[in-house]
Amino acid sequence: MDDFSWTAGVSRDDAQRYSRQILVNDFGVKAQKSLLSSKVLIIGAGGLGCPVGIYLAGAGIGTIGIVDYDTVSIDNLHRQIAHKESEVGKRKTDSLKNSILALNSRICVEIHEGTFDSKSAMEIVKNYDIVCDCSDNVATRYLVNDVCVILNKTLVSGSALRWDGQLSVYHFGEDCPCYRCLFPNPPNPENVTNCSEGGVLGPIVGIIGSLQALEVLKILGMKESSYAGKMFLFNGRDGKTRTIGLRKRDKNCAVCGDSPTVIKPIDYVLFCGAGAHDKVENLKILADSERISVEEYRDLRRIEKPILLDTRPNLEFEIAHLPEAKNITLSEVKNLEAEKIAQTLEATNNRDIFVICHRGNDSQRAVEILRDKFANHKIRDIIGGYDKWAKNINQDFPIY
Amino acid sequence: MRVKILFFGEASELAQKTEDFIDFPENQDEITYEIAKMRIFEKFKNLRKIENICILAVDEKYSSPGEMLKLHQFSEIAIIPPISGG
Repeated sequence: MDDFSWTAGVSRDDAQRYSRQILVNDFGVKAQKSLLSSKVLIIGAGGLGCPVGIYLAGAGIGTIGIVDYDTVSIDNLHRQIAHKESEVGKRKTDSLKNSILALNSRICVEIHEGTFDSKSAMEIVKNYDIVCDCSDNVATRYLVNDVCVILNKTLVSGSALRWDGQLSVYHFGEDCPCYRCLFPNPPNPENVTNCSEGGVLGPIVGIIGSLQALEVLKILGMKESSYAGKMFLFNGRDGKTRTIGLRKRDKNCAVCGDSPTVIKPIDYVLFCGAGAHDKVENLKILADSERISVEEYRDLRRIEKPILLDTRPNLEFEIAHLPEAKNITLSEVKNLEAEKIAQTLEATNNRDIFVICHRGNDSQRAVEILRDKFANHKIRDIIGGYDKWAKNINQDFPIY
Repeated sequence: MRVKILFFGEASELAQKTEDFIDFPENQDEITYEIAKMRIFEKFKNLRKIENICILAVDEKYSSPGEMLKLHQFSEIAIIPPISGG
């Protein structure tokens, strides 16, 4: 026998780099080889997509695809751990790609910038073995689900908001339900809270994203999943976790049922009544006569201290408010007697009442309610709220 | 029959707590999904706006319309609306 030949399951480089996961019982060489030749698509390079991308890069997934249309902003950085301060304003796809390559330069990273919609989704998804839903909105979640069922791809789905996270693996085997089996009807957009409104803590998305990455490793490496047909629920506020056994695939499901009606992607913005992003929409429900611009309001308050009602939640009021503002939240506006509101506002002599909020949506809803309660007062909302105030009047105002 | 109710996601936000109890006047260990659901959203009125999108899980198991739910003294019913953020 010569000194120079050997029999190997993996290359020298792979043995060195991945040894500490190859050594794990039940994982081993076979799983590692499978990861190295696999292609994973990450939809959303945000709070979930960052840990998913980083862990999958570390583990040696052959090809990682990244879908995102957005750019990095400073308020992403507390949770979107692959993005750096220096990349604020740059594309999230590029930023996550750079972090992945910095960690493991041997990964092939494919970026898909631009909108992921009914037109582009099939072409993108078809090239991958498995898909991670790390998106931030309802329309994209239904689109990703439907495309995965139609193209027969397993979907590892995570989501998070505030203190809460959810994780499940959809469309993995004959009995496994899809997202639509559980949630056949999209929620009313008015009842959907996103991270830019409700907030989310970094470790919450970190935990759910890490679990998504782990499921990908098991599914690709070992052809098994712990969360197919199950949903992991996490409430970090109280440290509560539950794993719910889900229903079996719904034979009447519109997309994965026995006689599906959704056989190609539909119009998800129409289906969900909301756009495929987590940006806050600008409402216009009041007539111009019931509205006032930040500039007009500035001019008025220079002459006399106005009566200003601030409808934001307490927590946001505490971040910063105009000194004349009195905090009565939108739900208090709905539920409190007119007298009580007038007392808090010190609204006497039929003086004008102005209403402000974060971006100018809730303030309009409040005006609609208040105009009945205060028939003798002229009530107007400040267009664009504190966001606009910070933009047009005082750039130092702490906006969020 | 007293049963624990767990609120997840938006449900805990609306209920302003993560758990509570409900007393079912029906003193039986079996109750239909529909009656259980009605009682829960009767008691926790703030949750009504998400009633149609919630999964109800009894003792960590998904429950479907039409099903008879088997309850006992230490049962818990989780109210689970989908989360879409990430």
